[in-house]
Amino acid sequence: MKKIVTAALAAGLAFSGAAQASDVVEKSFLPYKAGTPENAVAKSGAVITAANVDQAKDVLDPAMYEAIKNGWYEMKVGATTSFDVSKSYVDATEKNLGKVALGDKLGEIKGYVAGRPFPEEPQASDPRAGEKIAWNFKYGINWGDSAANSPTYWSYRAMADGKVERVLKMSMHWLNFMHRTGQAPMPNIEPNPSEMYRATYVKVLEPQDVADTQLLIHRYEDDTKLDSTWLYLGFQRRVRKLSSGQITDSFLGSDIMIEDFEGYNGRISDMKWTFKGARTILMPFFNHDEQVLAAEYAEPNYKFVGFTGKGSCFANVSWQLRKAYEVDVTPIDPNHPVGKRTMFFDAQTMAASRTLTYDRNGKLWKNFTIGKAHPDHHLPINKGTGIALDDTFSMIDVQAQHCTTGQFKGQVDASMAPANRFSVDAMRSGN
Amino acid sequence: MRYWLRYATAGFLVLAAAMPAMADDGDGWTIKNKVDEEVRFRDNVGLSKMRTLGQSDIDKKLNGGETFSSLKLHTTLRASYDKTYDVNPKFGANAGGSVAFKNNSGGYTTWGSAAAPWGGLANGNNNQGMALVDGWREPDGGLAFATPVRPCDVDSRGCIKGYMDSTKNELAAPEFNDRLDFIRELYVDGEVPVGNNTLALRFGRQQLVWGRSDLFRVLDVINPVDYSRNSIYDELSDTRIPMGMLRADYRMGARGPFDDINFQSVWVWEKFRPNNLGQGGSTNNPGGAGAMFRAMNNCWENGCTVGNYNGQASALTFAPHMIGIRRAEMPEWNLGNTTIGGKIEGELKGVGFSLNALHTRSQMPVLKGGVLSVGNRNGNSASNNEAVWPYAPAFDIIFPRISVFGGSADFTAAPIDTAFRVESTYTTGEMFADNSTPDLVSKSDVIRYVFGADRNTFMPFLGTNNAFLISGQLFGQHIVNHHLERTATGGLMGMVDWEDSWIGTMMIKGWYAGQTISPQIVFAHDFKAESNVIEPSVEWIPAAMWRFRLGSNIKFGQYHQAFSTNADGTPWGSAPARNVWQSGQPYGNLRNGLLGEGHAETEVFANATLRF
Repeated sequence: MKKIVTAALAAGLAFSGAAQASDVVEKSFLPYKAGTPENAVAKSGAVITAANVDQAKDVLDPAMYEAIKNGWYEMKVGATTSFDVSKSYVDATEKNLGKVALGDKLGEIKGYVAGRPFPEEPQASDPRAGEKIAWNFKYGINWGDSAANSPTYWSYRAMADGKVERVLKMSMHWLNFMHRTGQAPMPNIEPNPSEMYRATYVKVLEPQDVADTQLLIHRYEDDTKLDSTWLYLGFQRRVRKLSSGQITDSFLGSDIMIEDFEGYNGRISDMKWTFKGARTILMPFFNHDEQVLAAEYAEPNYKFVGFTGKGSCFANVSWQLRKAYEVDVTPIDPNHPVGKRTMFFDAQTMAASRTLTYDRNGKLWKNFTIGKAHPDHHLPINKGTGIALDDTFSMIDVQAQHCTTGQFKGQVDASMAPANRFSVDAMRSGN
Repeated sequence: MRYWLRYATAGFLVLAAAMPAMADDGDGWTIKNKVDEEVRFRDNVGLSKMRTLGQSDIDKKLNGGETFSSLKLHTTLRASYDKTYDVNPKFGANAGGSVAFKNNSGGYTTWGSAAAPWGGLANGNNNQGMALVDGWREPDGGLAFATPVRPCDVDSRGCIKGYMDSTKNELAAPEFNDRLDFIRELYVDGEVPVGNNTLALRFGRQQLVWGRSDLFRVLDVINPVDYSRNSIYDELSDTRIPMGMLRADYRMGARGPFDDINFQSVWVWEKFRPNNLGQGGSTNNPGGAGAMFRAMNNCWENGCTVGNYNGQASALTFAPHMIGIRRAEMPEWNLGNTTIGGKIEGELKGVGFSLNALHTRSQMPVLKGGVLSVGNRNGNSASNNEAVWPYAPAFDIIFPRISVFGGSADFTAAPIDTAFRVESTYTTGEMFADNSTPDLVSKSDVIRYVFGADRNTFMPFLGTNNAFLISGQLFGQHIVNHHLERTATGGLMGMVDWEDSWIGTMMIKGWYAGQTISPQIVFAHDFKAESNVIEPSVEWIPAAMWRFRLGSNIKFGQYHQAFSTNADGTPWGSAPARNVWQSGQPYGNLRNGLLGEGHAETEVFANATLRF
């Protein structure tokens, strides 16, 4: 499938008659067309351990280097593969190339219609390069126009002994109301008076003490407009509008805050984005059906990714060398609990697969990994979607020696994310 | 068969008939169970709760066929047993004892031994199983009553038929009564796509929550509440009394300027139920109503000895049918007595809002005079005729028809990281105690409102990376047609309740150890009554199945509120001679409010919950 997409893309570019534009888009979406990155140690089939990690230091982010160096994790290396992005999204990028510009202020953008807003290679000389990457992330392919991650299991683990303290079973849903490229209606779901860009809905299914808790987030097209976030507490049977402080608090006792969802779940305008450069590093991209999958929670036609390493805090998946953009993301609010995040965005998909979170004293606080699975090696419904699937996550609080791990069953299925699911009133019904 | 039961049965027969077409879609049943043990202890009475509770929440997805996009059956079954009534002799079959009233002239007068110029107590109305109502009141503080306190199957004195007449088993196991409360919820829930909109229907016994406030209710008045369980301090979802309703929501999503707009209509078809305020002898006596009403019903049925009546030097004994509460007029089931309501709820430019209207009956009781009574114990002459005597303290309990119009809104203020919520109602038809009117009650419209603010605040100096939830609320009540005037003797005549009153609440909740340990403080202050409550507690969740909670509920501050002075309690003397109900009971109690009247219920508690 990826070959078909690549061929189609190449054909499209060839007929476009805009050689320069095509080159920009092609480089953005097909970074491995000319060849895949190589490293003397991090070769396909290799395992990076404490014994050889120093030889692979250049292709590891600092937190993963430390984790392996400490003997917490042995990293399996797979071959670099292309995660071709949905053709409709690439086409939209091509169509609108050069028409998008940053506004005068942080959080402002002009001329955006659909696709990747800034496919041009970021330049260190551009003081706003980090901000452009942030826009590429916000308007990234992500879960496509709509999808569900259902069920998903979050396990709270003590890193010292791997004891699982708590498991949450949840259902997560996403829907883009604007800039849609793959599912009807396109480009927007109307009416949409508040110009909501995207909505996220989460329902906790188990355990009983938090069952029926529901979270709804509305993110607006106007990035300077605060997200609207509501929480339905089953034991109260009431919807509460959340203050922004709750967005940066532990979500249901996990090591994750709502702002951490999908790597970063907040406004661009809340952060200062500093581009640190393009790097080739090991990123958790893999084929789900080629991994050693877990027996726990297995369903008749699906098994979840498992965990390994210290405290079983690390996804038992293979990593591959990939081109990534390193961006320092610093909260503008001096009272924000995070001092800084260093995020590594996958250049091809713009997925924020690696995030290092530092506390306000500049000390590493959390080591966040989102494992991305190729859609053609996953559930049949995901095949050919061109959406790199969130398949697992691991959020390690290295200070508290505690982690939360996630096992996902991602389904790019519009029927699982109908628009009426993303309303406050639907949540209020308790269903 | 009771009307409401007939409707419920008919509804579920219809459902049952349709069931073959609604075969299991394969999702099966979802069953969640919990067992909860709660122990409470007061220094004045010892054990005040020793309750074991079991609850099952059962859901079954149904195949809705072509019509329903989703369809499910839900039921919540609950059973509990409070052993307090068995193990603590202060409650239950052997509760109470003999009582005596302090005299203005010194000394005591025991129940039944006071002067009885109009005849004595009925046979059997002995000085046994009795307790003083608010025994803290001094003899110059107005009337003093005593109430029987044993369950109604043990001692039927003062038990108000159909309202406050629980047997020992009904007090200990409140779910097993003639309203089948062990079926806490039972409803069918379905969603029907209508174009781009959704019609959501829910039929059956359920809770329907309006509004955005905690602890006290402003808009959340569709379901009555069981305050006898733990006054206002349990979660409302546990204390609301589910009612049989048909509820229809028409969800339109985004329309016009609205990000979300929805319409709801509700018909509460189950027979009216008032709030449960306990009864004389129950472990909780919210608002002091249960004990007071039982004392007064006993006065009516069997006569009573009343301390300090009319400012007399010593207690007086009244014969039956002279003073007291004659009966509770419990509304019968008919269409006119059911509740209807509706709301519009939505989001507009970042502000969540609702506009609500409800036509129902007051869930709180009203004492209405103007009933036939013997003698004219509040007039200028002492007649022994039976008549409707103006200002006579002889009452029926009624639940007047009321209409509630209100609205609510919530929004966030980004610069201060705070979510705000407001809620207000305008209610017509409510009735308030008023000693200036012949039947001692008058109608007034009422405005109620609440302002709330919630903020999550990081306080790392308290040793946690988790934010603390700080939640404050200010509740207010304004009686629109309030009137009050000074009497010639300097007392007060008019409506007893405060014209304006406010209660402030503050909750601070923190989380430690991966949110497995959560300390919390809840504080409430009644600005007019000058009464307070503070409830510090700690919750520990060592595993998903287990939750433990330890805490205390401490009432402090003023609880001696009075209304007017006893100088006006001279009905046989000079005009206007309307004020026999003076500074003590019940008028003073009305000014103590819920917090002040709970002053004797300071307690420590421990709770363990097992979920499986």
